[in-house]
Amino acid sequence: MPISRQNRQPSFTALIRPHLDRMYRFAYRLTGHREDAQDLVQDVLLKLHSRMDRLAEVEAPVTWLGRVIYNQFIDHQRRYKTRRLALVEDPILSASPDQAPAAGASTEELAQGEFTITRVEAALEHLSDDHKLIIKLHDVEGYTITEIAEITGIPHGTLKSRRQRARERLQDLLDEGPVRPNSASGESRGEEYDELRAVPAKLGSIS
Amino acid sequence: MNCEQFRQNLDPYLDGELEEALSREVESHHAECDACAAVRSRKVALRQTLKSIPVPPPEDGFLDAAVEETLINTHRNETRFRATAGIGSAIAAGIVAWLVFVLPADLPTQPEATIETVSITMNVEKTFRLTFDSKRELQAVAILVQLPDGVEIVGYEGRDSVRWKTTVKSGTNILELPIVVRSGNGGAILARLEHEGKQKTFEFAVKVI
Repeated sequence: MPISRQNRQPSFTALIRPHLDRMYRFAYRLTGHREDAQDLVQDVLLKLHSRMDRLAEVEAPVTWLGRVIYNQFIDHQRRYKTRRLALVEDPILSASPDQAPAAGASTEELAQGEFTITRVEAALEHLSDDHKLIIKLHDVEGYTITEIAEITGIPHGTLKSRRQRARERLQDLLDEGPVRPNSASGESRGEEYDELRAVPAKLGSIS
Repeated sequence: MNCEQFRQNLDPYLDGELEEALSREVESHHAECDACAAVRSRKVALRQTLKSIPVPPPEDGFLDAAVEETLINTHRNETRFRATAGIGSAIAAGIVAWLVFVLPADLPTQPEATIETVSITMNVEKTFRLTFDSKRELQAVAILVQLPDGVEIVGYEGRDSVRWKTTVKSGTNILELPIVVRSGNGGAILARLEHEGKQKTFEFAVKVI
């Protein structure tokens, strides 16, 4: 017997509401931008509406939803890879790792002061898409390798070796000092221009 | 366990993926080697920073509105709530305006104006997004934004113009301009793109309501 719309509305809302925050968070890690994450979530919701019976049955909804979002993202990457030319001051150039440590700081505190969020985020944007994905999902969001394998369909062993290479690359970037955007593009920061840059906020397009 | 073995096993140890006997060796070496202890501290610090990278919250009311829009659009058998890449939610939130322009593969030699008027409230920040569609990547594009009296880009107060260089990618590019009107009634905002001697000028007007 077909389910009436009146009956489906609360069911869909009730089913999906507990997952929305995590869905948005996951979408943000994939897209790197709030508006694109919102678009991705909206598109996925439209798809999920016709699959709500499946959603109600899955044993691991977090992983299942992650796979739906990931597949939507991969299938329509261009839509979610809009380049933004945001007017911002350059956070990377101003993010120096060599700030004077506080007297008496512990080894852990010294190390923590070295890896500021701004620096690490900037370095992350220099990773390849594959490396960025594994770091963001595993080290940032805390998904296990098994979960990421289920979400992406990438073999477990591939993900583990990719994770190691991604960490090494990230560490190398941070060890090199301040990460500079657009260094390979030949752009100069001539005197006539403000110390501004356009931020290609998508998927490592800083090059 | 020597230092090299410690460093090879450190990530698996921190991931909790190391078998118990090896874990004990890692811990033992860590306790007696200052250099390796420092390596561990750096790795732990980096991991902690990664875990603390924030996610900006969605626009106010977006998640509820997204579910509601899904129900409405499904009911209407329409599937294009996002057709304009966030415009629906942006307008609903009332904080963002979108202006869409198409940028040809090569910038025309003559300026071409596209004028729209958008409303803004005095002393209330509003982000305008100018969308440029480019058929190919254009490097070292100089962008100049000129502002009328009383209108400022947030973060660059007191400036009547701001300019910088960037790469315009193939596909859709969005220039985000957080604007606030401090005095007057608004006026025309000009955005000019220059590339290899050619330029294209876009103009839109903000009107204080």
